[in-house]
Amino acid sequence: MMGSIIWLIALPLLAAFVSVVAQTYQYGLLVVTLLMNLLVLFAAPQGLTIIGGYEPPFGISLLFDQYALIALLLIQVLLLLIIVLARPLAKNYTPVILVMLAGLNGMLLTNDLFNLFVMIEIVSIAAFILSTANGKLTHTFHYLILATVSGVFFLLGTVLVYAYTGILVVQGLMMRLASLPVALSLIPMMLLIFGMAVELKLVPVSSWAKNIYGQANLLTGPIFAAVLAPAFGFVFGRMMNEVIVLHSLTGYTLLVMAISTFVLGELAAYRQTDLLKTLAFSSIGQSGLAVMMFTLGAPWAGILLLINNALAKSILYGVATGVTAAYGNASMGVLKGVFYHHRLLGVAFSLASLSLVGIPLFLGFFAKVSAVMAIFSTGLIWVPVIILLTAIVEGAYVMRWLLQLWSPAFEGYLASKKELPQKRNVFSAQQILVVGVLAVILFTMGLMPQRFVDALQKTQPAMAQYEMVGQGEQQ
Amino acid sequence: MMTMIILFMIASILFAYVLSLKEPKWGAYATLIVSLAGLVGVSLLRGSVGETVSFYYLHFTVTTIGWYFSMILLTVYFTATFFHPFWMDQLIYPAAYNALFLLSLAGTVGLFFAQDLMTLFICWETAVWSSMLIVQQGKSRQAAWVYFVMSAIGSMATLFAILLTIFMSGTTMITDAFIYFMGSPALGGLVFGAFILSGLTKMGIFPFHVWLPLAHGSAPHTFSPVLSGGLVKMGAYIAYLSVAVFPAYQVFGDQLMLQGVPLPIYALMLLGGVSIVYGTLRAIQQDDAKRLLAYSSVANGGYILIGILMLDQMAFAGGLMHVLNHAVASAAAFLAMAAVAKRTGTTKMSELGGMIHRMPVTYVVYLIAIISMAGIPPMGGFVSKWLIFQGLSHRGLIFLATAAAFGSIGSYLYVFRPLSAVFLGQLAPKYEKIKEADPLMLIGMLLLTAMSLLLGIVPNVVLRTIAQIQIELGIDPIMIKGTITATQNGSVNMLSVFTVFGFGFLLILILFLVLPKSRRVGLMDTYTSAEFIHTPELLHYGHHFYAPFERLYEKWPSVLPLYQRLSLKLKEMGEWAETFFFHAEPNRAVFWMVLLVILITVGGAR
Amino acid sequence: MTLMSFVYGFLAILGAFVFQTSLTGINRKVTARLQKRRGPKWYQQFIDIFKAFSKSSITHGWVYDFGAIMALGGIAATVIFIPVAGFQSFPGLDNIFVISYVLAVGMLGMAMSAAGSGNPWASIGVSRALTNMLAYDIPFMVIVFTLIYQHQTGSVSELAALQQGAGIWGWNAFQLPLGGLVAVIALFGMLGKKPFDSFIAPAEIASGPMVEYGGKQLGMMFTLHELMTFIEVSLILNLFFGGGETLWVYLLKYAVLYTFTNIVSGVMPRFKIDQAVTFFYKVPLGLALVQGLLVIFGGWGY
Repeated sequence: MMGSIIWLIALPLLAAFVSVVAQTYQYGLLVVTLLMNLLVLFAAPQGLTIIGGYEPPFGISLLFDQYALIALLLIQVLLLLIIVLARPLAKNYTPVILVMLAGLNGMLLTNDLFNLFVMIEIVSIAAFILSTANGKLTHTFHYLILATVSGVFFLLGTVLVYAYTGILVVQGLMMRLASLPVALSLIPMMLLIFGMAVELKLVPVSSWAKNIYGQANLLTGPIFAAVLAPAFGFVFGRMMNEVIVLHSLTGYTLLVMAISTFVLGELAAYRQTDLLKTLAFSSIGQSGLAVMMFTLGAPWAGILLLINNALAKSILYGVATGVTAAYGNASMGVLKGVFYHHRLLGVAFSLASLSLVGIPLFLGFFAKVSAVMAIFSTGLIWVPVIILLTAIVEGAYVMRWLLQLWSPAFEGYLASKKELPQKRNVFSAQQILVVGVLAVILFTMGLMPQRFVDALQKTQPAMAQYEMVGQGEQQ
Repeated sequence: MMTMIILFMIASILFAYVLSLKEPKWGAYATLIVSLAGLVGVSLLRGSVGETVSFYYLHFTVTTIGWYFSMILLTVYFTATFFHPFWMDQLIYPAAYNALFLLSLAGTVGLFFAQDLMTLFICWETAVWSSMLIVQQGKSRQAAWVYFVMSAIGSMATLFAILLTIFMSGTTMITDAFIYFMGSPALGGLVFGAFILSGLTKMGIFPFHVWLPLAHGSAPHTFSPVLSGGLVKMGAYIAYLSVAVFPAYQVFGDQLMLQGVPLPIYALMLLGGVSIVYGTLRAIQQDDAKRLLAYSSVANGGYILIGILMLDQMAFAGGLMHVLNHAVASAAAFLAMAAVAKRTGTTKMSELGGMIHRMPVTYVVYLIAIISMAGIPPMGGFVSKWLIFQGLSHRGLIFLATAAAFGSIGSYLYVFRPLSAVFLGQLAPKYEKIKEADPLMLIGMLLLTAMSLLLGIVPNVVLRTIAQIQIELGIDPIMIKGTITATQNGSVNMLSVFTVFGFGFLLILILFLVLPKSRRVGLMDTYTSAEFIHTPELLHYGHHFYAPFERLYEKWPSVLPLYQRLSLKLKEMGEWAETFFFHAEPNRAVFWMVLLVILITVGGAR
Repeated sequence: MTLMSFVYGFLAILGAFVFQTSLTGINRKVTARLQKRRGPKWYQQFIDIFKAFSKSSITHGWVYDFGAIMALGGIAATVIFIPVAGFQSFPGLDNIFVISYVLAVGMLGMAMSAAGSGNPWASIGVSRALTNMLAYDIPFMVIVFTLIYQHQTGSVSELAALQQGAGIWGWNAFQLPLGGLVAVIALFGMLGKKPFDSFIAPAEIASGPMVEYGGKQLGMMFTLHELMTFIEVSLILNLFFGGGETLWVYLLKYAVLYTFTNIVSGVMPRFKIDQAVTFFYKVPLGLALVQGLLVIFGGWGY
């Protein structure tokens, strides 16, 4: 009974309906659902699950493989920890979160392009509602417009794919599309890419993220940066693997978009004096890097980057939104030296930011290394140069924040002369424990990178027929 | 043995941290004991060259050069720990300080014993970020930040080189991987340039030196000696790797040769020469003693770089020996300044004076240190500088020799400045009551002093190790016969020099004692051209000591503003990106999206 | 290194002192004649020194005395290193860099002692003296590098011996005329002769580093000055004027060279210290570099 992967979608949906009725147990229901989902993840066999008994390409099917397992595991665990961390806020949004969970799981499991569109829309709508928790409806509205437009693009792309090939099954779709004439497959590919670009926060359609991420609270910040972002990243990875055929025009466009997202995002982050805004642009930049990896045909590096970014951002956003709420403001002047009072949070934050930047001994370093190594094998030697140069900028602003947050001392004087901010209560012991657990997960993963990278390289989906950018077109 | 050392280091970091949480002073003593144990442990590795150890994904091997560098670093770390117990109350996070101190120690030692390139980089970065977090506990956050960013520039370049090397050669072992580039000079040149960059930034070679005065000047007083004497020397090791292990001379074999040096290497040497001149000139200008010593580190980094890049019998040995000499001398000088700062609360030379009357032992420590730093016999610094001079004149590298000479004579000017303004001259009344540094601190400093002296009198003790390194590299080793150190174009017997010097000193001492005894008068009892001055501070010459000389170049541009401008430019670009691509209005994004799709559709259909 | 070496060393110091002090006395007379005076007796310099030694004196603390001893001790030791007409008390210690750096011990001692007196005039004098050193030493060092490159030896006695046997034209001063010129100009700086004597500046900063000295310390400083002069003139003599085949030739050449500097100095005005730096870096350093490049890349002198 528990052995079917379909429960991952069904359970949250069921719980969502129940939670509307049984409002008292909402929160408990959410936690239980997530825990059950974890059980399902470990119990369910890998492979294709066909719903309704129709063989593909006619029926709706779910594809549960190693890749999906990693993505789903990451999302269930992070979401569980985040709702524990942001318990008071999460209580008010339980049905939404449950629906979003169903959508996320469906998005990562579905083997049907149209279903994927539906799931993306479900997640998007849940995300719109969640973002209202920030209390800035204008920003939500902007996000809504962009996401809707891109949704239309995605739908158009799906329709065209169906019109040209007659099937919508994700697995193996690339083969069919590749056999089409370039002029024919170019447009649906471009539409699909732009259909995802908004949620992937790619330049030039990432403007919504600045305000949604930059005004986030304890619930929305971690959920957007550590659950939604990696989920869409994983979906994009799947699409790049199974569906999207890159021609030199689309390939280079996508590559340029990814690179400029990375570079411009980090540059914009460099100039911020607001902690949440800095993290927002950093998320944009990191997303660009992961997209770059998937585009260049190095999914394991992309996965590693997504995982590292998700874990790091959950801690960073958790702590940052926490101290912002407690101290009233996320600006550099207000938050100067706050970690003097909150050392455990400070240590977790430091670990996460060191990992985010890709400093050795932490997971991020191995992610960066595998990214660069993967790019070398495509022959594009100048891309690593850009990545590493941008990494300097990234390191620069992250370190600036770390130093500011840790040090209450006056500039130019010894530490004994300091101006301490008044101590305020940020987190309860339970919340600190959650942040600690996240930090321990991140740190432990960094300790055994080799095993981890090996496992990831195995998860590379079997279809490895990339048409790499820079190596000319097939056919 | 090696596994034990690694495990011991990891355990001791945690131990020191926990202990410091309980009582910072105990943690401070723990760092002392741990670094001593590390020193003893590593010194025992001398016999086991070639032994390899894998620890997780890190791979280490014992080499002669690694052992040599580790011993230098451990010595510096060890002597600095003598100061720790007295400084715990000046730190915001003493426990973190102690733990990070040991972590950076472990990182540096790991770097020198690294067998593969990944281990090398991991240890390197660990040492960098841990020391950065220590620097921020000093006077300035800005300094720590600049330190990190400059290091990051170097590290990222090196990471690029390392990954490219691993990718091209298919192996991560340092010795095997670099051989690959023998066959491809163009790529080899790129890798060489990128790889050595972290060494250049770390050593503070000219355009990358900006972090050094900031970080050294404002790090906690106990850590500045480690920065200057220890961590900067990591750069020397990278320079060593990139010229001795990386086949640089072969890769650049078809380049234009200047007196036997390929043009790219010569260009790097010229940068070293510029560093010498620039560091010297800037050091002469400083008012803060620690900043002055920091600029002197820039200058000495230039010597080390030139020496190591020569890869010959003389200058190479000199460069390697200068690593040790400068580490010892610079650490001692910084520690002496730390002792003064502990008592007076300042390192500004214009605010001090006459310390010799209150802290004579510290004075002697500083004196010996600067004699060595200026390269005056019979201290260690002379031998290494002499070897570098002999090497340069042997090859006929005249511009580098000019720079080296300038730095050498110029060092008399700047090292004398703190001697005169801090220790000599008038004692300000507010410092009448201060006492000599604590005995424990004195032990640490005197250890270094004894080393400086010993290195000068019997340099062959160290040169023997260096000769072995040279033999392993297949170049002519430096010749050692008893106490004579010989090169192709000159020899010196430092023991004899010391004896003759002692003889001269003894003669004059006898003369002095024979002559009538002098009457002791006060410091204010001096000839003042019939002025009546009763304020000791006014009779102390500490401001703008070399004013006429400084005036010649005071308008020269500084390098730091260039970096600041670059940073500003990046911020402007960020602002541009923010208004252009990340604008809140969604219509722009929709416009872009539609435009791009149309363009691609049209472009693809064509 | 035998006992006799030390005896010879002692005799060398004594001989250098006696010879140079006499020469200074004679030159005081020469200068006087230039200025249409009669001048003191030739042994007036000895009288001055011994008078200072015998007088009562003051001290400003231990470093004041220690510095003076270190200065004179270091300089005395340097005299032992100097090869005179091929003779050395301690063979093998005459490397040019060793000599010029051991010399620095004496200078540092003197600077330390002067600054230790607590008199700002002395410190100003020291600052100028060191600046002056930075000015003259660089061109000189460049020429020394050139010589070592050309002859592949750093030993002063070997460099001197290499010039002998070919008459006057074998001397480096004529083989490398630009270098010779630079060396002689540098010698003026080393000796603190006009136009490079601003660090003493008797009228302006009350005798510079020496302002606070009296009694035996002053006597020691006088002695130090004589010995230092001996070292510096000998260095230039050995490197550029062929040293001396015999002791008498050596002393004769020495007397001529020293008197020459003295006479020129007698008719010179004085540079300010920054002017001296600018001058040395413009003219002699330029000449030295040109000479060096000609030797190294042009093959001059082979």
